[in-house]
Amino acid sequence: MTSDIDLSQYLGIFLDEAEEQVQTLDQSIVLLENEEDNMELLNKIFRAAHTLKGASASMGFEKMAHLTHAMENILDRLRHGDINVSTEIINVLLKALDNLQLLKDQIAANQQEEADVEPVIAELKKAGEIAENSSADQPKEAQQVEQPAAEKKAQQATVNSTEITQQLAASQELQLDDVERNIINTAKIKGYNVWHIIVKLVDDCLMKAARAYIVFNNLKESGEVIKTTPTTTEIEEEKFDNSFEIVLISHEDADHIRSIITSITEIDDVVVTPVVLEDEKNTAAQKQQQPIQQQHQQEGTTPNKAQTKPQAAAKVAQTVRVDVQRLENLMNLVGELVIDRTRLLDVGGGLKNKLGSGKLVETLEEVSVHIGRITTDLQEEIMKARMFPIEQVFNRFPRMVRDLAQKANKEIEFIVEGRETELDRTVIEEIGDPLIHLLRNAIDHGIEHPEERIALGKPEKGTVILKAFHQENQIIITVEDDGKGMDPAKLREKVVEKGLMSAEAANRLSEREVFNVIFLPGFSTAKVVSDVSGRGVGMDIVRNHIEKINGIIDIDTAIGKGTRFTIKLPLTLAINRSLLVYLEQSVFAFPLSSVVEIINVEKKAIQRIQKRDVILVRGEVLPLVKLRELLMEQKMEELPDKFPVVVCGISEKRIGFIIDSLLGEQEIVIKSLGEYIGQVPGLAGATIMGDGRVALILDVRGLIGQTGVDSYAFAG
Amino acid sequence: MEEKEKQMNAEEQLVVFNLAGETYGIDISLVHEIIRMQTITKVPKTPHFVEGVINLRGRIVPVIDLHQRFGLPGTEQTQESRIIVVEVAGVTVGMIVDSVSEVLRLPVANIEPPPPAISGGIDSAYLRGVGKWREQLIILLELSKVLYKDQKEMQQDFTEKSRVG
Repeated sequence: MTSDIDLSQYLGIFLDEAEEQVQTLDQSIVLLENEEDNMELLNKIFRAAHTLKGASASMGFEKMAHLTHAMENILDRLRHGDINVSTEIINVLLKALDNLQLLKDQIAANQQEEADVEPVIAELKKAGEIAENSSADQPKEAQQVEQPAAEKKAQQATVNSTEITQQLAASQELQLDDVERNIINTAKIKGYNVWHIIVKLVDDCLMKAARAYIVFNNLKESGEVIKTTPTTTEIEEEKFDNSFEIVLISHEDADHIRSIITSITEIDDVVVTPVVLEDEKNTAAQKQQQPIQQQHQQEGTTPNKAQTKPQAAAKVAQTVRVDVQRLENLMNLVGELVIDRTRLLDVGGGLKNKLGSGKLVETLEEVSVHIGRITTDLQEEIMKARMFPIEQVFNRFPRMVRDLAQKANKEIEFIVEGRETELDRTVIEEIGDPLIHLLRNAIDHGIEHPEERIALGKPEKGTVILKAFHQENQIIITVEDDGKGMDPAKLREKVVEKGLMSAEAANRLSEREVFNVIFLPGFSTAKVVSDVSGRGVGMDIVRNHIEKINGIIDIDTAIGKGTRFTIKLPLTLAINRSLLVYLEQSVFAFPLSSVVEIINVEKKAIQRIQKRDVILVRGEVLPLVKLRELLMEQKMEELPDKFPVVVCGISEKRIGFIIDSLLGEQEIVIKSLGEYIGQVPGLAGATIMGDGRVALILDVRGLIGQTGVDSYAFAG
Repeated sequence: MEEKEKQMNAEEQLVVFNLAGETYGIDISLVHEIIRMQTITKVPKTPHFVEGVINLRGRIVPVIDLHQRFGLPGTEQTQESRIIVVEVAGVTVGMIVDSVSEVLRLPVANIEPPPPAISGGIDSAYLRGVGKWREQLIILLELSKVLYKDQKEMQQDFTEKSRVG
């Protein structure tokens, strides 16, 4: 009856949950190293391991279940103060976590566990024993303090349990049809027990149907399930609240059945009572009914936990996992609405011209204005739905910093601020790698070794601060260290040595510009970028990554004091404020973030330097490029006497694009040109305008690259 | 025996269209929709046969000109011109054709492998076969080839162009 539930349908949920627990473990274990007495934290870790154990076991992933079980054991002993938190224990726990991650990835990839986890399980066991020996002669204060608390907890649990038990039993009466009665009778005659089981899941149980399935599955070993309420189909579809009932024919006694079920995670309570058919009721059941009725009466006066809980839960924001593609689709649909709205307005205008203003025309106008407002709100809401706290990225770092510091034999205090800062999903996806690189850089090169720091009169422990915050319409992320800072003289030397610049050019670099040499392709060396980072990518890649998402990176550094990298990012990549311009009949969009100003230029102001058109703007030389020639590969005939120029800037670089005319400023939704066309140099994508036409979005960086003006300013 | 019979009875459902005086057919299951001509936004630095992009209800869809693709003499776009939007291997592309004539079922038995050179110079690599339908020959296109005969060709076309530019 129940065996036809397919486990694989829960795989997605299982993996989601596993991911969540692994994340929790990852963050908490690192924290635990510094807060070894934090009982709450320990409990949190324990719970995460425990939940994973349950979930993996029920999905049949045995290696994961074993591994989490071993972790759970050691955590439990930590909890009880049998052993103390030490670097060794943290290390082995982290190692176990890595294995866990590996298993999870393997399950995600091919539904199988391949990694050999026995060695790490053995290590876990061993670590527990060693730790016990070493802490054996220490007074077990923690334990003594903890014990009464634990006892109290246990007591409380029993109290709650009975409350809920009786409440459940009272509220749910078993309904049986004739066939079921017959089966029960026969079973009883044959000497079987028939149990009525009420299972209550915890309030925030994630995979209710899966849990229910596990319950059935485990029970099958001890008997036969003859009925469930609601039906199995309904249970499969999660059409039940937090509890369900089972009628089980079994040889086992009630306690055994109870223990089978309670060993499954996320089970709040289980009530096992014998099924009593009506003819037996008068005699046997009477005793049982009484206490339940008593309890029932009490309910009126003492509000129990089950009733107060939902109220508390209501305060917590309710969330739903949504496929990102869904959001993209929603966004597209709203985009269509925007276009239709404009068309509606056009129709309204047309009708008004033709018919004059009548009631119908007015109504049409009203409706289109209303639709317009709703569309704008919708667009905004969907944008917000795409925002995620940067936490998702930041949370991976404490562990990484710890490992790197250990490897480099450095002591590092890692401070993370502004985890709650929200960013668009697309930005979040891209920002992780550059940050990893900057953090590594800070640890490997910024922070000195402890002895060196002491000699310099600095605190032994270096500090690395990762911070995120909003500033106007931007997100700022900084990575700061209090290490040695960068030496301009050394950088000048290095850039010449690498053959990236002439000695003369290097010396001409200003105090600020000189730090930017680390972003030059090919500059990465052991002196600047670590061997530990070992991925062969340099700071040029970091900068490319950041510029890809329309960001800017800056450096502040002082010898002996430290270095700070500041990254400025747009809130979102999906919507962009743009300057729309005409080139012949076509409309192009300049992202406003790269537009510096718009100027009107007179033809006679053009001068030529090295065969290139330039003008002087406030004393600065501005190279001019005919956008038509650049984009459309056509020679532009004579320029008019006066023409508009869009001045764009990337870092220090400035360039003026000659356009035909301006259309205006607008928020546009960026869409890709699609796989078929792929990346076109100089184009960042396309957008659909109000009238349904497609406008191409310019990639200013790419355009500047094509002009060859690159050599004008160095390194940006 | 039965198997063979089944095969004999098997049919292909085709969308039939005209291009430079020839009749072509493509598998209907690949056809997303057929739309009238509309404003096409040119995209610079794309292969010569890429006409540009259109807005297909909020989606940006590239459009290719089959005349250009096959090196056929260009024909003016008329009232009859249509864009057949196809989806091949997850990629949506519009194809400009002179006109769409009908949808028909062609018995598989009536399909023959492509002869070496059948029509006015269309590369046989684009062909899947030739179908006979009431005295008429229908050139069956191998769409994946039509779109992506080879990426190299596209790439080459592309680099040459950008070098000129």
